[in-house]
Amino acid sequence: MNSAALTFLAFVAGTLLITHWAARRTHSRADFYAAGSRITGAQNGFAIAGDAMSAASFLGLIGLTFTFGYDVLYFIVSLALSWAVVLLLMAERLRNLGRYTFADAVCLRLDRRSLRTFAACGTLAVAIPYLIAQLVAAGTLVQQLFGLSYTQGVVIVGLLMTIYVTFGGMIATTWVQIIKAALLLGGGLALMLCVLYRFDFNLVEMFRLAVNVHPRGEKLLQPGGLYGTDWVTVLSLSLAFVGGTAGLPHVLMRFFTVPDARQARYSAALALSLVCGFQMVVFLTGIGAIALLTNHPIYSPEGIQIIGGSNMVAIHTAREVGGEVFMGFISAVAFATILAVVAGLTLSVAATISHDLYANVWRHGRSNEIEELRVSRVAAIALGIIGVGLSMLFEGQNVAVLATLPLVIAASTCFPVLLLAMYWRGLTTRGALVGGYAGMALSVGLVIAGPSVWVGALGFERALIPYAYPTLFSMPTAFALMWWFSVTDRRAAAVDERAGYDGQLLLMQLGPGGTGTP
Amino acid sequence: MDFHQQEALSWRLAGSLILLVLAFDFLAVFLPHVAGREVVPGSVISIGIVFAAVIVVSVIVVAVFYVRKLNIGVSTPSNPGATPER
Repeated sequence: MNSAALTFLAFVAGTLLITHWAARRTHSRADFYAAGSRITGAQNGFAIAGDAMSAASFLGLIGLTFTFGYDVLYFIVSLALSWAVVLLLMAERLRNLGRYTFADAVCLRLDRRSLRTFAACGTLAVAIPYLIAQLVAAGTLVQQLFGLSYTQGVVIVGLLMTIYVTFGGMIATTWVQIIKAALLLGGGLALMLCVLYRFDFNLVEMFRLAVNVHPRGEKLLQPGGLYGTDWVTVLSLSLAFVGGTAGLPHVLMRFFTVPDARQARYSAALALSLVCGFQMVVFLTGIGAIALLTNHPIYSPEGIQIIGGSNMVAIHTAREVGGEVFMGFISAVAFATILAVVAGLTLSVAATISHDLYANVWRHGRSNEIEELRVSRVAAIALGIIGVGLSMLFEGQNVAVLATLPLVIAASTCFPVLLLAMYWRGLTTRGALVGGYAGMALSVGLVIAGPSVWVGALGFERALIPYAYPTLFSMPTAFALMWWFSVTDRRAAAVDERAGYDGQLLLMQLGPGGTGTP
Repeated sequence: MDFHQQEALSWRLAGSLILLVLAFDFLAVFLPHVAGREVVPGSVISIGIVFAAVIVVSVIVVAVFYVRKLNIGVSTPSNPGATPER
């Protein structure tokens, strides 16, 4: 048995023990959805950072840095800004307003049934493509790392994520994320230090070597490798990251796991610092990988055409600097990363189906906790089966679109509704629904018409629109429609909804107990 | 610091960071030769890379400042058990 398999088995064994422990502590709805709001700010900070640091942000960004150099900085600064927006504008208010899902915060003064239905649609539209992309990545990774088949890889991940969520709820999911975040941060940092060690910690020398061997030469550290001078794509990417991160349901529901707004702020700041630090580690490792792997007879005999594709750059670098054992460790951590992220996604979907749709829309708030918990668990199991099934269908497919969709949809759907619900007195149910659904339809439609799907997945020669990230069109449209259909809303209910903002303001200020942070 | 002062501070800090990132994006898109210029001749590392590092560090500094400013002096947590049914 190789080191990758050993590390991964140790991770699985540890997380299953945690799930067993968590299952004994999960008695109520609050325990299942929000870990009883007993998670500390530091723990939640690590868990949120774990949600943000997916396999895509580790393997993908190191690979992109290896291939394109400078343009990866667009992702890094946008991601840093996105977490600042979460901290400064969302975390505290969300914690004080919400309970289990972000819909709780949105529908305080707006029509509950229609807004919860909308929130559930948004959550599903974000989470399912994200889940499939992660499962397909898991299946592919497991083939290369452990010698198992694609199907075995997908089934293992699907089964484990279902077990974590069904039995351990938010407590298990949070601890799985914490352990994974610690492993990923530690592994990533160790990888970067090993890379820097090869250059005697001389950054300038490492950058110079990378420039010398890369086919782009000096242009490697200049803008334009990936997006050229296309300002629409660059701005859309930034908007997708900012709005997308602040609108991802599985990230938002983590703020309900801490006891108060103070801990919510602390956890957001800690997550931000960890994610930002990790992005710098990723960029430096990618640059070091260029210097180490380019034209390497084993990993990249033809320039930067890396064996196994650009997602394998991190794995090959680990082997180059630390041998088979270190490569095994990094591989297992990458696989564990996928596992932890899909568990969080599954929980967010289970929560929206049981809490938003079943308990509040279908049963009009008349269901009891036992029923709701049962529906959550059934939803998690069903999602596990559906996710595995869909991942089988997507085997070998270009899943780039599935990774693009969630951020664009979240930025154009969940984020505008949530931001305006918290900050604008004038938002009405009509405006929120028209703008929210329009943002959802437009973002999905434009992504399909863009190069990722139209050319990459459907095989057409030219895309109907040239932009992979259409957020610059879909997000402002959503905001504009929300504004217009709210200010022109003359219904009596709209007057009440605007008046309800005063009560909401008080709740945002004082918290649910009325004694919260000023 | 009252709620409205806090809100104003949040928007000011967020706005400043948004402007920084916009400046980074526009510098790279409209003045790529400036963004790609070496910080010090012979150093290889470009102005854009240093700018990105400054933004990332600024975001962390802002986060630390904001949380320290707001969390100091707050002693009474809200009671999760008292969350009203919604």
